[in-house]
Amino acid sequence: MFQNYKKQNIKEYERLPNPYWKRINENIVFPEAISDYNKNIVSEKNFKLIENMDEDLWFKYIGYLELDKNHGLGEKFLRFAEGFSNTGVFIDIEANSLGNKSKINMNIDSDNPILVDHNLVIVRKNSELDIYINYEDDGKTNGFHNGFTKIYVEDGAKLNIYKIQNYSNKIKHFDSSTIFVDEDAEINIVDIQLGSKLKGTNYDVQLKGNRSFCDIKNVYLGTDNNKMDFNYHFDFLGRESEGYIESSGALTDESWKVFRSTENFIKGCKKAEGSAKEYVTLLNKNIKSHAIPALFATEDDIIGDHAASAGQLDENKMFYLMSRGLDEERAKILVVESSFAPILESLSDKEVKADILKLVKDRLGRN
Amino acid sequence: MNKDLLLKIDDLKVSVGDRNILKGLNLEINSGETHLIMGPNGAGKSTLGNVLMGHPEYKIDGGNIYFQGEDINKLSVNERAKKGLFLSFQYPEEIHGVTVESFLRTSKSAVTGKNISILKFQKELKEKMDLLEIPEEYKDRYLNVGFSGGEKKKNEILQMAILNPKLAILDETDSGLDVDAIKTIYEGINTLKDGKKSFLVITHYNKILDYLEPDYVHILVDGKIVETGKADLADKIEELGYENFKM
Repeated sequence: MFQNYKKQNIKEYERLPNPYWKRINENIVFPEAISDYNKNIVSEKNFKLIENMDEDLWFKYIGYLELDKNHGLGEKFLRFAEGFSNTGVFIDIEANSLGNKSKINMNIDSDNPILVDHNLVIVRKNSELDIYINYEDDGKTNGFHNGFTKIYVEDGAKLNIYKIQNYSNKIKHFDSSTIFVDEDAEINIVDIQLGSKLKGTNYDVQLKGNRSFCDIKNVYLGTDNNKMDFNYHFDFLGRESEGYIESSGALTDESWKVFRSTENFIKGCKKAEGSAKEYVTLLNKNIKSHAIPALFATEDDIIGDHAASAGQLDENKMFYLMSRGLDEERAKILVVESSFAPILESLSDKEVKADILKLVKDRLGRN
Repeated sequence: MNKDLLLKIDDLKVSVGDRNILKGLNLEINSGETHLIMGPNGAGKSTLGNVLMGHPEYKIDGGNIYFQGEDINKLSVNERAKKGLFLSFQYPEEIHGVTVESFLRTSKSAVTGKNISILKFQKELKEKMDLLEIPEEYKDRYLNVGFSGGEKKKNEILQMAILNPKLAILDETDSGLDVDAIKTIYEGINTLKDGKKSFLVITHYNKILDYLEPDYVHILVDGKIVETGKADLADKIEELGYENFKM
């Protein structure tokens, strides 16, 4: 049955035209032949994973895998992931199970240049899960990644996801996540997007339950002629549901960025609260940076806001730091680091925070 | 050239945008001397501090700045810091995510060009913080973030103490502070005087003379130094105001 499901998706995929992303002037091209992916992506876990989706399990999970709505970066990306996936994880955390952790590595190398992951994560009632996902490559291989993750956080459950994408400029990176949050459930996502020549990420969050909660924090860097499109969509359905996205980035060289956010307050989501904030530091004049925030509401009793700002590197901060002996590159790194600090401060995991700061320094200090 | 001559400013003309601010300023400072620059608002006092340190917004239209005999007009800001120039800012910048200790160690190593052992640095930092009556926990706070006006100024003096410059320019270090804070800061500065270090103190506040003994007092009006004298010149200003010093 799972094979039939894949075949059906391949058919759909073939029917669809390749997308053109006009905001960053990019025709998206998908690989013609999908090679096997022979790396084990899960390096640490303290729970039982579903290794293979057999027929019995398929019937159990079909309701979770087949979505009746198109989410994510676009239908072509989703059908591609569902039809051609060459790896993925199926996580089902039983109810009332606490302290679950997993580390996943979405790595690309010359033997595994194409990574297509299709994932399902279910965190059942009152359970907890932390997932750390790293995206790295060997720096030599022209690679392609497209992922699609379906996430269900059931009543009272809590899921934390930390993603650090540090691909080289030889990799194209696409990642879609569709998230369903039930009553009193909570999901926190830290998404660090540092590398990749062309990247598109999408979070589609359905705040279904009363008092459901989602907080996404995003830090990104754009260097060289990197192009990137970040999209965050929240549907507020439950009463007192909360959804937040805060993004902080720095662009240099000739990079292009689009940030989109949609907060959609649907009738009945009384006392729901949402906000979308994006700040970007422009380190060069040849940059294109667009922010497209949108807010829709069919419910009156809500609080929603959005804010976006873009600014050149603060000359006075640079002067201050350089007057203490720091050269321009070093001062620039400190100013960017300082602009990321409010988001990184919220990370309770000090090791992850230190890793991220080191990666930012390495990337900006490359010249 | 006088062997003790540290800074020589020769007919300096500076503009910001289309505004001429310094209009032919001359000044010489020898090693170990303390000079006080006083003047009304808009005279160009802070411009002098900024241009000496090399702020890119200030354009030199004429004249030269020599530091230890070398023309530094074209040197970058950090190169000037390495030569031994230090500016204590009137409005220090807040830098999130970077602790006072880590910043000072980075700066010290950048200015001296040497890696400094952590233990040695921590010992020095503690000594200087004690001297300036800065509580130890401040070293773990982000640079100037959430600091009061007085704390920011003390932090500037702490940076000066650690970086040990040849010429420290103190731009309105006393502004916005209460008398006790001013006293602590200037007493701290006095203890940092070593007979070699020179100070260029930019101020509005002639009470500074209660704490600091300048070798020279200069009156800066409309982009030029219009009078130079000893400490009693500051008292004259108190009595007569700046009006009488206009050219």
